[in-house]
Amino acid sequence: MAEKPVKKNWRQRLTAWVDGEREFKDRSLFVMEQRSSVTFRRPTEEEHERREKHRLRWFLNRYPIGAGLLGLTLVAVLMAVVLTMPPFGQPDNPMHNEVAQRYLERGYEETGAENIVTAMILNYRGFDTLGESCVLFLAVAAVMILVLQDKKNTNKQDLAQRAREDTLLKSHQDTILKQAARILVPVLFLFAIYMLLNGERSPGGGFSGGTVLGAGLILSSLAFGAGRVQALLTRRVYSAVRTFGLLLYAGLYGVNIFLGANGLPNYLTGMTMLIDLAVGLVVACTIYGFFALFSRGEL
Amino acid sequence: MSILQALASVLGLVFLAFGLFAFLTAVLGLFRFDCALNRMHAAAVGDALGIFCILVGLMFLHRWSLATVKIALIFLFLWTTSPVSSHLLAEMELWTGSRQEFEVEER
Repeated sequence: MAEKPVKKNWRQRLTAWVDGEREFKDRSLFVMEQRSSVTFRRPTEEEHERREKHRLRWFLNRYPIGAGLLGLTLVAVLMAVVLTMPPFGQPDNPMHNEVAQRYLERGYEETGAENIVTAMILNYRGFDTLGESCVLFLAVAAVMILVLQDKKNTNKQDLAQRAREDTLLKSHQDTILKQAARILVPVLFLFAIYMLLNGERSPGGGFSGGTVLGAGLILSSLAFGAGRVQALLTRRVYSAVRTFGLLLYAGLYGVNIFLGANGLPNYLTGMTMLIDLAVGLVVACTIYGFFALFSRGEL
Repeated sequence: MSILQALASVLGLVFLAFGLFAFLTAVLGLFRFDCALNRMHAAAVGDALGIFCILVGLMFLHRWSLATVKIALIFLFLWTTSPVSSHLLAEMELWTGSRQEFEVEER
């Protein structure tokens, strides 16, 4: 420290600090770093191992006690909550209010759906279901961004590998699966359409019907080869169907909202059925899209 | 309630109980066995025998109604699909699984 410390104003020092220049002239700041090398010694391998073992044993001895205490606390909290809940099935419970009564009494005439659950999720709380459909739509879009392989991001090697895989799959086609699918696929499609169109009146509806439809698509693509489904459902058609479903839902629900959101079954009698169909299309496209994108990287 | 109806109820309950027992053995085997094919064998017991017994029991309990026909359709569907999926799984296991040979000790 023979040289004189260079005086700097606060601004220069700040920039030096920000830039990470370590130009502290005052060495007293670094006293903490100077350890005497005699007292500090790196532990040998055995010592280290022994210490780790000791710590592990210490931890494992106390772990069951801690876990038990935590579990008991949780059980106690949940029991306390259950004890303060109103008894099951009492008519004066807080959930039996005028909302449920109105759904039950006027659900049919206000929405045109005999199934009250369908009336609720597609009409009274339609925004919620619209949001769910948007989530599914965006999920497929995100997966497409990540794993879709088209002309822009495939080279010759990828194409050759895909061709090899295709020939391998073609030579190992499973007869049992094929015969079973020949029986099952028409039944699945029929049942899916029934569920989609009948969701207004019976259990089922958009989500379950769409799932069955997507499962049928996946089964036929697995059994008869991807080309069969791709010939029918090209990427363009797939995107069109997906977008059409969401737009149909948004349009119908928007009409419902802007015409008053109340008491217009006279205008749109089959609205619930159409919304069911739209949701079903979106769900089926989502399921089949996930399968196709993750298994082959293309639609 | 005539004797026939009582008999049908008892028969249905017996079938249900036996189906539950079959499922219990299936779950036990699924968790206890080591090899994938052994586990599939255990699961197939539940898939075939357990489902058969439970659905037949339910059909007996429902007597003659629309629900019986629906249960019969479910039964058909499950018995068509579950062997096919088991077959595919077993094939995949044969292709990709490790080929271990187990020796059986004779006693």
